[in-house]
Amino acid sequence: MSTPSLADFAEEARAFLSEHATPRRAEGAVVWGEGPDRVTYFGDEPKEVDRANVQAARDWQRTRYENGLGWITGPKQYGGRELSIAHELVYDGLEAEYDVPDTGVISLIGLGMIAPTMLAHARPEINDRYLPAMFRGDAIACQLFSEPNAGSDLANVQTRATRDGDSWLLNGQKVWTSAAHHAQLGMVVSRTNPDVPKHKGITTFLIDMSWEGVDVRPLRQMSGGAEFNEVYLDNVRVPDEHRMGEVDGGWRVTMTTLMNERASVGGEGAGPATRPTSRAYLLEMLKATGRDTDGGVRRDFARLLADQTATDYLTHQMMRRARTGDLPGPEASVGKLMFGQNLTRAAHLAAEMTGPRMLADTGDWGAFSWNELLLGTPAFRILGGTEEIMKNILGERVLGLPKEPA
Amino acid sequence: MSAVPEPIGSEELADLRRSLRGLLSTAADEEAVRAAAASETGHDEKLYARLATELGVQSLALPAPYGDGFGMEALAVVLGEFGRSVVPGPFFSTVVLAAGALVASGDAAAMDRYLPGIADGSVVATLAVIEADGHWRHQDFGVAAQRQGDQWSLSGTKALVPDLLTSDIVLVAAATPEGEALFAVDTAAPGVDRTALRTLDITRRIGRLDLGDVPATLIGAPGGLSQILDAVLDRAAAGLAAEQIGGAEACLEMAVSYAKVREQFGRPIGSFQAVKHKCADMFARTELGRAAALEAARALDGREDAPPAAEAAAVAHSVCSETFMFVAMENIQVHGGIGFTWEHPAHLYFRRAKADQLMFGGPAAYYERLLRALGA
Amino acid sequence: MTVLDIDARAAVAQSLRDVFADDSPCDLPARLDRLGWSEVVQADPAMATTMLFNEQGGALASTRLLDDVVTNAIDPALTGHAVLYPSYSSVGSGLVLGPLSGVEHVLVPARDGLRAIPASTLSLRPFGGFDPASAWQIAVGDLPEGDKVEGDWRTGQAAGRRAIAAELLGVCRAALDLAIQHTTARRQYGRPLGSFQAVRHQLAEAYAEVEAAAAALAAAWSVADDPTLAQWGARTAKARAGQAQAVVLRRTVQVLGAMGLTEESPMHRFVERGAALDHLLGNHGALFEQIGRDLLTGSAAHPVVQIWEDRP
Repeated sequence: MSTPSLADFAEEARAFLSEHATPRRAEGAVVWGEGPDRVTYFGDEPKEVDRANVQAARDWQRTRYENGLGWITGPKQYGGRELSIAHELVYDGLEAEYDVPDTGVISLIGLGMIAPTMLAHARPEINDRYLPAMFRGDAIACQLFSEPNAGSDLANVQTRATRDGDSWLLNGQKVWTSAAHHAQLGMVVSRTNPDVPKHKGITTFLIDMSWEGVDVRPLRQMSGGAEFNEVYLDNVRVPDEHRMGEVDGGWRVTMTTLMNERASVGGEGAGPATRPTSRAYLLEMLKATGRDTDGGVRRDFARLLADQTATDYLTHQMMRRARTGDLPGPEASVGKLMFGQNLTRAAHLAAEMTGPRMLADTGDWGAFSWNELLLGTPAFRILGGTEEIMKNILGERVLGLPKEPA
Repeated sequence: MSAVPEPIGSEELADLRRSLRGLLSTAADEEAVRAAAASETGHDEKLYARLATELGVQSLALPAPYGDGFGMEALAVVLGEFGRSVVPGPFFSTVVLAAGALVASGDAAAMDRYLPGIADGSVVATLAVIEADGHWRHQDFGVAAQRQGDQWSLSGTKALVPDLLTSDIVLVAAATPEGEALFAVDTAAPGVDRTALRTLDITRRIGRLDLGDVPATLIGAPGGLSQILDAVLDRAAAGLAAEQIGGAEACLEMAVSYAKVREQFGRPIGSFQAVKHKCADMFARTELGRAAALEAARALDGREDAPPAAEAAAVAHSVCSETFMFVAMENIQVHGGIGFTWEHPAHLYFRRAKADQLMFGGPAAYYERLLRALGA
Repeated sequence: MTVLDIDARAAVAQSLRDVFADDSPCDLPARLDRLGWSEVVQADPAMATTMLFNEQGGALASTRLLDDVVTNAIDPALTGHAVLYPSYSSVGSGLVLGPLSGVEHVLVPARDGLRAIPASTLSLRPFGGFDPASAWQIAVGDLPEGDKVEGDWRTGQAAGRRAIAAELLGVCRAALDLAIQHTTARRQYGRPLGSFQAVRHQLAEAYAEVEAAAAALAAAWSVADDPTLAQWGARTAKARAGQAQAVVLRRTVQVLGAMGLTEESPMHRFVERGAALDHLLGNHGALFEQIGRDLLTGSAAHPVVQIWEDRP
């Protein structure tokens, strides 16, 4: 069967979506004072709600998989369609018009980053065993990369993997692992050789999070929630067939994973925070707080709107090009940089518009609720690569400026 | 009022850019630019003529039958190249402001009279709006028009008119008893007094226009000025944005090249994070500005998936004005002391960036326009 | 007036730190008494108040020490009164800085002058909110009429603003110290984080903000006794310190990286306290606006510090 055209594939996607989902209702106008006023990027839902959301995500992922739309670019032997990224983007664009569960917890890291890594570096038996399960939504995979001493400098990992017969023993501590508490699998970056330059003594493994010695503990963040975890590895026994890539050759594998991060083009548009920092909401807030005649606030507001809107234009242009096969280059990092800065400025502007009422939970609608977002914004310039590191990358890889001397 | 522009392929645009860049690299290199800026007229008239005869850029975006009928996306390529080389000359005033006003007026007789000359490069024109208080406004003008039968005459002063002294025709915004209107004035007419002013941007001349009972031709109808100027402003913002991004790119390239070769403390200055991050910031802002400029051009060309034109134009005006100013400033910063000298080209861009930023009123004006476009 | 020398000041600072390190805030006045604090204040009120509130800020202590500063400035006879600070919330008629056990009267600035009401008539509940560690209480319900009190609230307000500015600077300095400690100890890419320019420059900017605000505060103290300039100086100093906390704390959070984002890290407590203190007696946005409005309606710009000797 020949490759379907983008138009034909779109038809197939539409047919599937109209059968299995309902169209998303147009977002109603913002009415100040109505509805919940919670403003946060991180979910921080009670445990039962969180688990139910994840189950809904798994169910939707399974429905897609069973209808041949679970892994659009993946190999057919694992249930994929072997189509192009352009096809995938067509599907994503159409799915956005429907009211479906957010599968980010499954797809962002597990499907988007770890699965391609497995395809490139894991043993065939491992891929046979786990890839279909991942794309069916049964196995969520998490990234066990960062450590307390290996943040920006990931090559500095100290989690040790020591050979023991035909398996390995893992010992160490991982930090800032999102969704570890929902994951069945984890990709571990570990040190197998401490006597060579840092990045030359690394090996990666795919582990089963239910194995003995794997201990997941929530990490409380300054905004109050606990989306992330610490994961302690205490003599975890890992069969050698779970190794991905060569012994001491794990840095290459890690780079594969990190490079797949660019696959989330325009992904930042989603997330519960985007509605309250949206133009419509902020405009309503400007009027409702009586700050619409304040020249200073108007100026700050206009500057933010200009940048927010231009960032949207940039993201849409990238997606438009990506749909024709022209994949994003350096502009993708600019979008990420702007997203963090825009969200931060929006939160601070909202704080200025609300004024002192934001400080106390007086019951004023839309006032205190900004606390969570405001306290959450620093994360966007730090997690997933600090702003400083991103600027290093832009400077060195895009502009060709010389590296810092050793 | 505006016809749907002719579609232009990306190959054609690339060719246009290549040809124009080639021409400008010899005819408008730094030495030529400085010489033109210092000359009597302030620009290279031969180059202006060549642009018309060899590349037809003046007529590129004029509607048929006056020109090729291409849209803002095509014109943006031209303006971008001019911005990159900070070329002195009346192109912006003539083709974007004056021709834009004529097309927006819908006045066929006026278009017949003036657009052919603009299209073939033989007529230089400009738009005179700003008066003594420096504000770009659409009403309450001091310049007044009197009617005697079918004849109009204008009196008053326009304080800041771009490319005034090289213009053959000035389109003047004036008050009439029946509402504000646009008038065409022949600069050779009696009662026209033009004074050259010393300017911040040495690549863009500005003059003061004093009118003493000067015969003038009405363009469009009295009371129709606001609509014309709104349309002009949207187009001008988009066109200006293209020029600003061209300039910003030139500054970014200048800064990055310098940072790679200049050594201090035993290593290239670009290896220091402070400089590296500054360059990264300049790059990020330029990318953002480029996206805004592109979307404004697409919106003005009526592309289906583009945002509303007023919004896109206002966003581009704000973001690109800030971008060019920021990048031009930081370019000087990266160069250190040498960037501050007359001999170094950095200040030419700094001056152009500031002049562009203030052209239609500055930050207060473009931010308020944006808020209005977005409903605040 | 004796000015304490540098060694004496260091000793005083250390003693103050010990005082605040002790956990029971009710004992605070007694502990300060034992230090002989009233003598220090008499010797050099500017330095003493600044140091006391610097340390309070750095220790993130939540006390009612500010009340004494405010009441003493209005009339020393009012010492012992608590102060009901203007409410900046749509609920509640004012804010007190801690529980009122042992307090008889509360000073209330009203439109027609100062009044004193019995503390027992106030219905209080914890303020909580953005700064959950603070002991602030909000007064709910109507206030009784109370008795008229002679005195100028604005004098007390000026004194209060100078003290809060000092406290804000204490918060900023402690956050900056933490950031410096962290970036000195933490290593990535084989070297301390603080050796990277991007980090150093952010800290340098933060430091400059703190020093500038400290200078504004010193200037405010230099005119504290001048009836024309005292309020202007205090307002400026408070505004400047409020702005500093916004600039400084954003940078200190950034350089602490992911570790600073955790609940365990003390950094977020500096952020919360900084924001709360900024809003007490006028946040920097509101104060700068007031200054602007005064200038635009004809008030002379009062240069508080003379830079050139020969200028009029």
